[in-house]
Amino acid sequence: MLTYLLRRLLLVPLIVLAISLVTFILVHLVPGDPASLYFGGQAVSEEALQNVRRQWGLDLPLPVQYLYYLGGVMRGNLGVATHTGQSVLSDIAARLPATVELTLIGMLLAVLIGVPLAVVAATRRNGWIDHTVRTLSLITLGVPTFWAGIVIIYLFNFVWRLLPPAVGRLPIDANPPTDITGLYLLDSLLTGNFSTFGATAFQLIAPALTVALGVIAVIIRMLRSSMVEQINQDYVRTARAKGLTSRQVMFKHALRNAIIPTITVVGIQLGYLLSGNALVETVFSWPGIGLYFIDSIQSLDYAAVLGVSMIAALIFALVNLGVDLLYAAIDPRIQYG
Amino acid sequence: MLNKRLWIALSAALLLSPAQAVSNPDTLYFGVYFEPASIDAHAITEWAGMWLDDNIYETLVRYKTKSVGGKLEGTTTLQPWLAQKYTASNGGKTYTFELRKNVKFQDGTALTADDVQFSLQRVLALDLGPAKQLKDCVDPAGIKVLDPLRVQVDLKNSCPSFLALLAQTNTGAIMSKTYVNKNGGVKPGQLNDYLRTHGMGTGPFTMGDTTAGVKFELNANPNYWGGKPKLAKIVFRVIKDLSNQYLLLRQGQLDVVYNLPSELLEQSMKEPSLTVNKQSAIGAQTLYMNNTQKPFNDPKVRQALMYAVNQQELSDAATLGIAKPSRSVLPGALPGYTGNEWPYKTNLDKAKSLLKEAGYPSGFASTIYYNSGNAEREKTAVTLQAQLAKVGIKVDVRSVAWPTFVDGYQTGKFPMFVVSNLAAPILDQYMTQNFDSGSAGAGGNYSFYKNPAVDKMIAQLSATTAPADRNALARRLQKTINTDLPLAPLYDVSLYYVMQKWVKGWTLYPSGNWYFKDVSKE
Repeated sequence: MLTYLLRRLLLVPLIVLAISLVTFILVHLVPGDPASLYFGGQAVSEEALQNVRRQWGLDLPLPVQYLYYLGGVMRGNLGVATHTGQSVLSDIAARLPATVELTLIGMLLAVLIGVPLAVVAATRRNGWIDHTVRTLSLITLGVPTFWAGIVIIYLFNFVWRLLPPAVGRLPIDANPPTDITGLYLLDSLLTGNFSTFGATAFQLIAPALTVALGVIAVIIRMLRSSMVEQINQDYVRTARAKGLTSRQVMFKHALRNAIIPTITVVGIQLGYLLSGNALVETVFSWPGIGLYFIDSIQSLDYAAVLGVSMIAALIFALVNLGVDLLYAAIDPRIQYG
Repeated sequence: MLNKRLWIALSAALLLSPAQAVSNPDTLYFGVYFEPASIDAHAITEWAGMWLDDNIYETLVRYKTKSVGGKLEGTTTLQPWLAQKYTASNGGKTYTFELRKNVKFQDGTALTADDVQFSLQRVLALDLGPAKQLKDCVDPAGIKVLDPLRVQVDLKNSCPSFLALLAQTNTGAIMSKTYVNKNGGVKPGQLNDYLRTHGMGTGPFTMGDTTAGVKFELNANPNYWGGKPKLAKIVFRVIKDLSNQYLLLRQGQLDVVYNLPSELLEQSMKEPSLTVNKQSAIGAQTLYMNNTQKPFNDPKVRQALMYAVNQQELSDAATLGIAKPSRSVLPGALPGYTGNEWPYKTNLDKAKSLLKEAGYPSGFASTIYYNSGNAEREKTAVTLQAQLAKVGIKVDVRSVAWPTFVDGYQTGKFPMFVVSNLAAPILDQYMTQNFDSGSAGAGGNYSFYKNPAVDKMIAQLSATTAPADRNALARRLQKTINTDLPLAPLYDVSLYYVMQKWVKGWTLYPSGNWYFKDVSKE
């Protein structure tokens, strides 16, 4: 187990390095000049462009630029984001908690809603509950997330006034809690700031629900079909014959065997969402990593694009590792050595 | 910006929201969709930086206002500001500025002639985008301190746009010499990282808190020489989605938003709790043609295109008819503009016969580019496609990402593209950037237009100070360029600010300046 873990962890830097190289090549393939984008595409003299290129090291040959960049990364310096004027690392550090909080709450909602629905649908196969759940999951799967987000804002905030306006993590005139982890829910609890906790939680409902919708659909479709498969297995019949209650049979036996493929898919979704969900973040003015990534691409901010890509690769690799380890915890037949 | 159509459909069925009471009367909430990349006043690169710097810093001169129907509007005429008086001598080649007494920087130190000299010299030394024009007018050695409150500037030539350049925050902002030297100083040709995020001037507001991706703020400067501002705080809230901005405005969460898409603007105009204010900006939605590429190297082809175009229809399609069709290659709000030298009126027969003369009797095929995500330009390009098809010009409409778009138009890769850039109210600058052959490419002449007679007239304009002579020259220039038609101006761009009725005292300027000192919520 430990050697497996070490081997996998050693692979992570290699993955991140490979991603950085591919991203570096890709962003430089995009036609465009960051210096002229810095001036907003407005009329500007060639000397001024040269000055900016020189200052940012853009006049150096590409391999040299890449090596300089890697040298910086080794020293923990991801460079300066040209579109914000701040260090990429501090930019990411300021935005990542927003994405993490939204993703985790969204995932939690998805699991809390998706898993019971899938189990119920599977046990009442072809009944009206099953049909309703399956139809709903098909619809939520087909609806683009940003559109769902807009509809949620429109109905829940604008028409029914049940949820707060989509102004990001806090109401428009509120101040963030003392910064400890950057996760507002946690920070406000730790500092005993319950009014901010309430406000944060309230602001989170709509975007988290939007994030959850897509995942719920995936959970339902995956889990329902593997549950149906498991329910017809001999061991389930045996368990029933032993006199276990239906709930025990479903949750202790069938679900545990059925959930592995779902964990894989949810794990991939988690990795994907943690690296930023630009559409949901745009609709809800959520100041996360996804929006930052889009802004960076728009201004051809090489250092920022590379930085986010590498952090995303790192998160993805670690989440995948976590998922693999989780298999062993759930299914005793799986062992790593 | 997402799914505007959905909003319209849903809004149609909507009940009016109840009237709101003024919330947070001393704080103005402003919805914006981007953040400042730099607040270094001499290296401002986009609007957000200018909004802040217009209020943190001040200039020696500033644009006047006039009352139109009981409401103040900005003009393009100048008045003294930090300089309480200025005089021109030596045939307009020497200016003497007498500074206002008792002006203090926000750190409490007094404004002196040293700071003025330092600031102008800094713009020249940084030599960034906006410095070019000033560099043509003045050498660093020509800026002299006469006494603590008097500065003399000797110009290289009778630069008629000199004062207007001083009115622009990015060339004329007065910084504190001590403050800048303490925080990185001036390195020629280099951005100052500290001043990119910190600012300190003589203005009515100081830089407040910034939360990346969320908001940036201005706080009132209680010691401002012109009296305390009416608001205590301006909060710029970053709301990326314009439909969402509109909803927040409707709910009274935001006080002002600007640049809403035309559908939402139309909705806002019907809203009793909101007012819509128009700023006649200096710019036009323009179809650029690359004059060095076939077939656009032939003026007849370009003229044919203009005859094929129906500008009103374009304005209807892209701006719901709000924008005014262009009547010159110059935008209507630019000083020197005349609409009397415009020979074009939609005439398909004329277009066809010009194409025939140019050797394209059955038209030709080409491509119009625009930047993806810009709905107005998309509608413009698609409408152009339909209009040009009527004379046999088959146009392919293509959207590309912003970086690719800027690169394409600055380096002449596109045969045709649609763009609108906003300019300062400085005729010489506009002419040089757009039509002088020396500015071809990134310099602003994106159609790569070259006419030695025009170059000569522009040089002449830059050496002419008498208003009557300048107007005559501007007219001749427009006549010539309108005929050559290096680019097809479509309609003038206006900026619209939608605000709550309770927002008072905000004056809009053609120059695009935002001064918040007299703004209040009542």
